[in-house]
Amino acid sequence: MLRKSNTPQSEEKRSGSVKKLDSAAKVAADLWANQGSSLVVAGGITALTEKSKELQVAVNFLNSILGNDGKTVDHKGGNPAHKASYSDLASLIADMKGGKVKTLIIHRVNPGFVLPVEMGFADAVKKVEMVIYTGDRIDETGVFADYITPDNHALESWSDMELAAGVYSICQPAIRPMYDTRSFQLSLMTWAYLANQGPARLRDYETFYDYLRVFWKSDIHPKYGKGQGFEDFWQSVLQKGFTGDLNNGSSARSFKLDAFTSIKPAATKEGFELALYATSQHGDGSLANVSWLHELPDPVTKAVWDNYVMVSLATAEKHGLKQATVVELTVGDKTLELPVLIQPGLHDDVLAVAVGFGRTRAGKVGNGIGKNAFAVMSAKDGKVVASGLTATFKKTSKKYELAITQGHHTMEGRTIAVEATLADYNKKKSTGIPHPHVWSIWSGHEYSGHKWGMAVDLHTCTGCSSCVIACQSENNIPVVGKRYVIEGREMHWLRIDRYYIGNPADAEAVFQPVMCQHCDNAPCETVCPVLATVHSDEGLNDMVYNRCVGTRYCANNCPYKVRRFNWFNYAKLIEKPLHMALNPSVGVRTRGVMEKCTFCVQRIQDAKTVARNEKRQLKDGDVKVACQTACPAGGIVFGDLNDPNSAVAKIFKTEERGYALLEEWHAKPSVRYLSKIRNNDKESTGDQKGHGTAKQGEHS
Amino acid sequence: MMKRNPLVLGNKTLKDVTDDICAPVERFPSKGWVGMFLGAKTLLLFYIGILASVVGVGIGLLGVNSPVFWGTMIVTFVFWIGIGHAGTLISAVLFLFRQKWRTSVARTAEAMTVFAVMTAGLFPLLHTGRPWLDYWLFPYPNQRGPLWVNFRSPLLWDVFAVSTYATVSMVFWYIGLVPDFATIKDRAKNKLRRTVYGALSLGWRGTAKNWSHYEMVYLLLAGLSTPLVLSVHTIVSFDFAVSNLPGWHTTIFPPYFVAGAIFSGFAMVVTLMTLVRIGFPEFKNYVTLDHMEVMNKIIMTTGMLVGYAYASEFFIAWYSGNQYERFVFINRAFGPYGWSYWIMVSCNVIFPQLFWFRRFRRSIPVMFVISLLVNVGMWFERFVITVTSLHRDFLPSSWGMYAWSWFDTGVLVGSFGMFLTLFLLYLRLFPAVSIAEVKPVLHVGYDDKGGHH
Repeated sequence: MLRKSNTPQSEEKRSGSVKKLDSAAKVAADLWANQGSSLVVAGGITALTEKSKELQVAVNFLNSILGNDGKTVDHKGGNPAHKASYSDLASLIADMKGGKVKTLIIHRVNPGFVLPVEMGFADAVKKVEMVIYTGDRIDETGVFADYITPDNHALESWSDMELAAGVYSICQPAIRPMYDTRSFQLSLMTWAYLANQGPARLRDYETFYDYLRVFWKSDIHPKYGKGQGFEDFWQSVLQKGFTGDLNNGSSARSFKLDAFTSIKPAATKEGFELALYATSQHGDGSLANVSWLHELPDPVTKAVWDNYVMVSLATAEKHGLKQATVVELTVGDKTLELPVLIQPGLHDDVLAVAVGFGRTRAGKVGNGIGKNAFAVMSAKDGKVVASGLTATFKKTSKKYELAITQGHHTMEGRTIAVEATLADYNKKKSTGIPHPHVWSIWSGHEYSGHKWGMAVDLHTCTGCSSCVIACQSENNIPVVGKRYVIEGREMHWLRIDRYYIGNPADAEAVFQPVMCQHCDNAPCETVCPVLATVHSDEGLNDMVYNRCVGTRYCANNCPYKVRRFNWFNYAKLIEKPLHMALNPSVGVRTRGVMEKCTFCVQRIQDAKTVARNEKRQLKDGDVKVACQTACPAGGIVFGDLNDPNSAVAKIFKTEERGYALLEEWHAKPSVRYLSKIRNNDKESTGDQKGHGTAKQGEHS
Repeated sequence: MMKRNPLVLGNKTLKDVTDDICAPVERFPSKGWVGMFLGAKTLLLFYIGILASVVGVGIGLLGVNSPVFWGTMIVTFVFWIGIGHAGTLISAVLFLFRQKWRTSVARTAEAMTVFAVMTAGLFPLLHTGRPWLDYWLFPYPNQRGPLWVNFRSPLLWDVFAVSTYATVSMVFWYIGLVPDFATIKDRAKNKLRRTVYGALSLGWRGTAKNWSHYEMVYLLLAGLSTPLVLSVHTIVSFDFAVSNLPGWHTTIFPPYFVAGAIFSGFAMVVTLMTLVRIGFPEFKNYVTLDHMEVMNKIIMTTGMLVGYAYASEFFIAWYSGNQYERFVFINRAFGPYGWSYWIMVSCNVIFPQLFWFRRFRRSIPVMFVISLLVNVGMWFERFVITVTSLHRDFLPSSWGMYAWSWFDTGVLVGSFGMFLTLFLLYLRLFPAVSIAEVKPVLHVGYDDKGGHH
């Protein structure tokens, strides 16, 4: 919604100029051409407009006339637990205000943070006689509570859930509770028992586990057991993770045209439209105390540790805004001071701010990071309005430094992230793929056993960055904090490069995950004076931490700049209980040592051990590296290039979209990228390389 | 035959020479010396503090980051190593070519070499992530099985080059000092002085046999040192030239670095000699304007060599047709670090052109300012090479800037504290001009026409 993408939902919010009408017509034509296999969606915080109901009516209408109902739209499915609405909350708050609520139990929700002031939660909760708060910290809502009952972590408790209508799952604890906590479920049972109230079975059992088993035996097993004994059924659900079937029996509904009678065209507003959005890292900010998420670069802006107000290039120019200028944003009677981030491709009339920042009681890490944009939302008739708000801003003389991991945004005409249009691809699959003439007088390494390789499909990569977090979690990668990101010391072994393509005002982005390329002619290996980085007989570029003296020559000589250095003793900063979050299969690195992607060598070793114990050869798929398992699009393939039947070997051999990064440099990487194919109906422009866009300033 | 100016002015007798040169060692230090020494020593203490923090806390205190993994320490290392070259050139190469004018400046130039190499030598050791493991860079017998150093790494060659250079220049310097130590011992009025300088003079008696051996050793050492003038900076340049980074990976680096080193070294000799002439006015007769003029000519010549290298690099970058190479050079001159490039060009190529004029070549204020500018320029040359090549290389996503911190300033400024402290101690404790070598070039016994009296 913030960036001009080709997804239909972004069109919902467009209005105005001829160009926009053109693109609306284009989207309409595309949708019409894909009847029954298209989908129009309005959801999330951006759908919370003043006329959110009318918006949903319009969306239903579109899906209906496109014949998507019953095909791509399944109105019987969905998660039945997600049915509560803001109006339910509004009526609860009204009851609280009216003194009708004597006891309020709040479990792991944070209305004190996410609701606009107009909803009146803070006033209402004071009128409640007893407020009990269960959660893992005294957060912005917990402060109102009379009693805090610390809940177990999800990994410490038994629980169950309905994933979608008719699909059930059991949550099994992975660890004994680490602290003196009690699960919310057991708390409820205890209170019911003590008060001698509620259904009998709540009071009959001593632990929630007993209750859960009896419930599943009596309520779920008869329906889904399929003749299995209960014990077998229970075990199989634990192993499989769920039971039941998705209800796919949804049929087309008829759309009542009179629903349109109440819809009036929106009045055009002056000023900027404020687009509040939830980032892919933080969502509503409930995990704001997790430093991994704060240091995970935003997929598009590449900024970390802050939120900011995004403005378009033209708006910035028109109002004399520079990157990091602080502006005072005014929305109705509320103001918010935020630094500016100039965003290529943003609509000129939009100011975009991420919600989920500015927590005051998230914890040591998350407190005071960014500003709370939920605070500028408003509410009308018990309905939260978060979208379509009108905003103005005033430039201040203040500057606020933003930490941005990528300082340069174009490929400078170099062949780095290759892309082609669908039309190009249909003509020639290898459009844009470089084929440099390289040769060597050396014979190169021999790999008689395995030879590990990876293929990364740029086409499926959306820049979501799950792989980055997976890598961080797998390899005990430290977080360095905002100041050191500004100084260029972020530690991610796997980063996602984002380049803007095309006209800066309407830029498109291409994402390229870059990790150690495990070159056959590794430039890092020859320059290390102490042989701390060496070539394995399986093609891995091994990093021997113990031997590393830290000359950093290897990193200078790496054309991919994937090596990361321990500038300080980050491992020493790991406090209890954070040590429990470390992967025991991977060491932590001391200061003064170089580190980088290992192709998850510990997973390779584990897989080899398993195969040896099972007295068999390693087979394709035995080794799955962390980033590969995390990629929701299956864009990363890893395996043995010496096994001609492995998926990765086939890609290396046959995929015409494949190329090695900086192939002409002849480092012979073990990673192949597959070019991105853009389905935008454009004919080939012949320009794979992108044009200049705004410079956000390189980190210094 | 062209009449040459005498190398030593003031109609000195042999005794005058001994008295003049020994005076700074024998008399109570002047206020000027004490003032400068206190200043330099304070700077040295500050430097020790800075280095201790960097070793104690982490190299991250400096501005090094990704992508600029090498910064101030490497820049300043190459700077000081370069400074050292003039000393060896003057003392060894000019000795072999029988350039008699070298005698007055050789000792001090060589002292400068030794101190510059000492100052420089600390940097590659301390800029590693784990300096306490630096000994792993030496191929010493160990119990780690086949684990050995990597002889393919230019950094290892650098270890050998710099340590050889440090050893040879120190020995050469010391051997040259032996007869003069004996002189001071002989003149000593107290026992301590006699004992210390006696020990330093290694039992020198001044016999014909002593002199014969001495001359031979000195000649051999001069012969040994001469290739080092070329090899050390050649190998230092390999640290850059053998890597595959655009802006580093060039074949011109060895001669370019050697020329630059001699250039900066002579500039430093001029700076120091100007100061010595101010601090010890009696030395004006030994280090004359003629000496300074010769060195200024060398500065101008090597300055133009360096200028040629700058131009040639640009040409080759364009001629190579390599887009990365071309970009690096355009970025050097016109990118975010363009200012440093233009400081380098103006200080190293433009200002020394003033030495075309005899008036400026012989003007102490002019040469003092120019020699300082040359050293500023040469520091920036190494900064340009190191930082601007690294900060924007192959993948634009990784581009960044050097995160200069005040520790960088501390390291750079502090290193002068170390150098100056050593140099001032040297001026006070060692005869700053070679007594034994100056005496033979005196005009004593000759008339202006070259005949005997």
